[in-house]
Amino acid sequence: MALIAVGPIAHARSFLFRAGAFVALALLFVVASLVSPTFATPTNLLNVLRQMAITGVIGIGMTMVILTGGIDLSVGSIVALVSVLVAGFQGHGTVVVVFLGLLSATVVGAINGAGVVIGRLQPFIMTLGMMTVTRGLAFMYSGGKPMEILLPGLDAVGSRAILSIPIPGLVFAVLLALGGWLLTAVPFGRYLYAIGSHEEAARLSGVNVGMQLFAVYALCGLLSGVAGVLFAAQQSVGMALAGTGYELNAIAAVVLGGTSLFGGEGSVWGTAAGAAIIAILGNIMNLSGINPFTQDFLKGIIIVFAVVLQRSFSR
Amino acid sequence: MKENVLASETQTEAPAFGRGRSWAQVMERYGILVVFMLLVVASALLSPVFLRPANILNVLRQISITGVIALGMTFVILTAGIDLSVGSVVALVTVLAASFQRLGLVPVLLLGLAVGSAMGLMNGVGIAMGRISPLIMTLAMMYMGRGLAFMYSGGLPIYGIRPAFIQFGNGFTAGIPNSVLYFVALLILSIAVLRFTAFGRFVLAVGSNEEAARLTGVRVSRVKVQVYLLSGIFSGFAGLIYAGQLGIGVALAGLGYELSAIAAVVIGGTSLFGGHGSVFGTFLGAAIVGVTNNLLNLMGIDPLVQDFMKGLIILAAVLINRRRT
Amino acid sequence: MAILELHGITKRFPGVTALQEISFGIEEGEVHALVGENGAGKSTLVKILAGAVRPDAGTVLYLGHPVAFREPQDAIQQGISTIHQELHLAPHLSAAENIFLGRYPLTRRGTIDWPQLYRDAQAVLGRLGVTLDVRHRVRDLSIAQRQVIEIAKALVHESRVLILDEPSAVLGRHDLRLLFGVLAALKAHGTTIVYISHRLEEVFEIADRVTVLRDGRRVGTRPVQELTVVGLAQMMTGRSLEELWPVRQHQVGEVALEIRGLSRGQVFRDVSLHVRSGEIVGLAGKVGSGRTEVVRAIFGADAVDAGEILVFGRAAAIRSPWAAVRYGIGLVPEDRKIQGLLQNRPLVENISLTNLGRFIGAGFLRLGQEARAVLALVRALNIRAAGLAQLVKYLSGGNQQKAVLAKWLNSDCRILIFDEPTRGIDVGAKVEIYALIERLAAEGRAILMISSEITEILGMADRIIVMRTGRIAGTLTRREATENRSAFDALLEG
Repeated sequence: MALIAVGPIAHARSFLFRAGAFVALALLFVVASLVSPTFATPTNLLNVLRQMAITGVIGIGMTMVILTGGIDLSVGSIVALVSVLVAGFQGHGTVVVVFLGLLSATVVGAINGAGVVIGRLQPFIMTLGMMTVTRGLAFMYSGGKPMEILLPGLDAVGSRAILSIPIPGLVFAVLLALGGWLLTAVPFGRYLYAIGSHEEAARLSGVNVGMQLFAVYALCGLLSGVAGVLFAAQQSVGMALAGTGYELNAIAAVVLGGTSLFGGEGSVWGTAAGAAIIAILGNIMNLSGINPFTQDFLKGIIIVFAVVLQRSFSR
Repeated sequence: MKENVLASETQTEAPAFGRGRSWAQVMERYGILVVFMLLVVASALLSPVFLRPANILNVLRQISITGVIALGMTFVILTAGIDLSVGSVVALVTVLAASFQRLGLVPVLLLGLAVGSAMGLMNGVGIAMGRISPLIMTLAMMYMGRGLAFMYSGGLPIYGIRPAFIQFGNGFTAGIPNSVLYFVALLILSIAVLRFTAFGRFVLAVGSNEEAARLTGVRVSRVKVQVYLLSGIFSGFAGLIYAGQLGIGVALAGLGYELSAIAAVVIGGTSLFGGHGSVFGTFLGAAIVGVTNNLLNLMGIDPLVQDFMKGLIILAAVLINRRRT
Repeated sequence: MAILELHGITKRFPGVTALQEISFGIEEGEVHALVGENGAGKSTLVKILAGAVRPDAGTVLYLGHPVAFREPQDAIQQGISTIHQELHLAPHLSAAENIFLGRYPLTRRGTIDWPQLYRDAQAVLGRLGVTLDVRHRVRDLSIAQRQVIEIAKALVHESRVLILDEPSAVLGRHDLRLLFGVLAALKAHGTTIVYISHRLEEVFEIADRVTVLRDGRRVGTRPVQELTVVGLAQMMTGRSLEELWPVRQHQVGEVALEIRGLSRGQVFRDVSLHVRSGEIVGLAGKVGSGRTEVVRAIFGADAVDAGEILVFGRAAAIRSPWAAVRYGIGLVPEDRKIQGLLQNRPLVENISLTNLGRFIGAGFLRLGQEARAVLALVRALNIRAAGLAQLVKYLSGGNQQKAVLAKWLNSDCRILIFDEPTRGIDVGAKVEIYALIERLAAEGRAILMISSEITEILGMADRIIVMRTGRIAGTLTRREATENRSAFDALLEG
């Protein structure tokens, strides 16, 4: 006895929806090359890669959290905290500060996770509260003043390149691949989708939903910590105002990349495409000499345009 | 043989209070009030200055601006939406208000409200007709609004705000700061609108179950546009008050106001999923944040520590007041 | 051997005793039906067996040992799976992933062995006699297919007992055959099946024995061969079946609603019908024949490609439900919970929403006036609730349906459309709803009623329109349909 199979149209639509971000990226590439002759040069492209590394790394963690139907607003303030801690402990050398930075970031993420799982608070609220607390900690620690960082080891991470690829870009690429693998090849990643898709079904199937959520927020914290280290490396300064607005950038990248805010579907590759779109847009505008103030304005319009386009793909 | 076959229906909740309210409904109504009272008592104990009229007015004054924004935000969140653009409305309005002072007080006020309305309208249309998620639409609008403010002002403060306008934003009437009067007036108006008008019912219906509301004949798209328009107007008004208080127009104004407003709404018991909540709760939420700030100041706690403490207190308030779904 | 035994199970909720000293046994390998009205305690009993609720007194013996489940996972782990009406499947994941959620086959390196996963999933479905591309996302599958996936899950969990809670509520005749085939395969496999249903005909088709609950007590447990449909209904309700249908009092008047050539893509084409004031027109057809889509189009909930709608002879431009309401049309939707009511709002708000203008004075709502009017409707329809402020989600199914009805009465609609008015409602409440519909018709309203229960259509409708694959297949009067069942069936089946 056979059941009727699902039509090919459903398949195609679902593919297009997921591919939407990549199509947009490709189109953008073409437009950018036309608009400015310097766009498609290796120097410029690698520069774009370097600039999007931070948003991209945060985006990987944010994608995973959003896949479970949650959100993390504290990512930007984690960057701030990590940057000031790196500055404050720089006397102990690059390795120690990096470790310390990542550790503290993971702790913040773990607290987020605890609040969501044990405190049963909505992720929006929990991470909003932690955002305030973490940035406050950064202010407290830094006395509200920027702290210069003089660590040649760290500075190298921010400015050097391996095989012509800027190290931040490499870090992003490696983490991206790891993230993509995590989400498709091992149960942990698939359970994130399951939780976002139907939490109760996952729970009844024996998935340890509490542990999963706790882990994903800790992971997002950790990745924000990596971004914080990259920030300190690139800017050579620790400041409590760092990372302002990074959460919204990351969310924009995630959504542009096709991940649904309700959870259950999406991918880190899409987020990477989304981050690339935002970075390239900024780049084109810079190359065209557009006023940075106008850039924000245009960024807004383009986000709307992109989302509407993506929607019409999925209809 | 029963006279009514349905008399044996199973009720899984104890409707113990008049007209059928359950424990959950009662807790929801009064929980945040209890938290607020506790905070007031604690503050009074910790600082002798707290209950002085001058201090209380001060607290009210400080929460008025984000409070007005939060009132508009309440309506938006009640429809299960969100408005991240409110801060940028404030920025744009302060910049334009400072720039067009020569028009006279009333025209400038109208201009501010018009700007807020325009942005709110665009949000509403994008969300209701364009079917763009509120987070994205208002995020984009936030970029656009602040971007415009920066573009227009070149990143520099705009001077020239006239005395009449400063009186409007920063003056006193019968010993009470004007901004407080505006806030209280809008508070009462908002409570009335939500509880006693058809529009208020529609807002709650859309937030509770959009599709069911549509199938009951509620004009969902129109309601959505209206709430974002409302939020824009309120934010515009807040921007006018702020410009009067600052004395200049600056594109950096209003940074972080959206989160303050959302925090006030959520602490006040309104669910981000929409469908239930109260305007008075938002007032209490804003008050809790305001009292907390005030307490920390009065106790002489380092301003740098304050953010940290504020975050802890927000979390504590929400934890205590969370709904058991 | 009894695989499940209940001894003295009692469960009380504030204000009511849901289950009173329930004792009976379920034999291993049988299909045991559980029937009863809403409020009879059926749903509570299912929750206890599923591990979601703990009894106040009594014991449950599973495989001869007493068990006390702390949470649903306990029950599942021990071998008792429950398939609820709201399926617990992750729509974004593939069928194969859903079946093996929590127990993916792994490679030696610890990663998911995808090819093996798909092979295993196909194998499980094969044991149920079903073929399906397991890579499809669950949300692209039909409800019948999704139910099969849930059953496959239970098989993977090596459940010895499978409880199905009203599975047929959402299935048409063809899909039901599918389900019964799968259940037969399960039974051959040795699984014990507990089957809850309101549709008494099914009980006779599939069950070996049946337990009847009424008012929290067990009325009896009998082998199905010893019973008749009428007898079973009597056990359930304590009343005889003839009392089901209301006395016909309504008289037919002018044409209130007419649609001509209504079409929407492939879903329905060239649909024309009319309903007169005071008339009850039944819209029959199998699931998927397009009936719900047609009435949604009439109500403005969906757009149409072609056709016109006339209300009392005048062309009506209905492009949204709001417009439909202004023309005096109301729709009681198929899914009252999700589409018909605002679950988290108070009863009074739900009912008054259709016509708030009635209660507005000087721009503001007059709450006292609203309460009085709504209370009158609540009394008239006999809605049992703890108060006007009670949230609708705490009302039983029957009372929720009456609340939906009340809200349309508040709007003074002249044309009322029902989509499966008594789905998921017990026999007792059904009688009330039928009586209400009859009264509405007697008051001169035009009634269009979709129903998949033949007995219901034959009992209520004056005229029956049959739809098949998106088109009108034919029209019969009630007398014609009753006297010539085969002609009726022919129109349905084609």
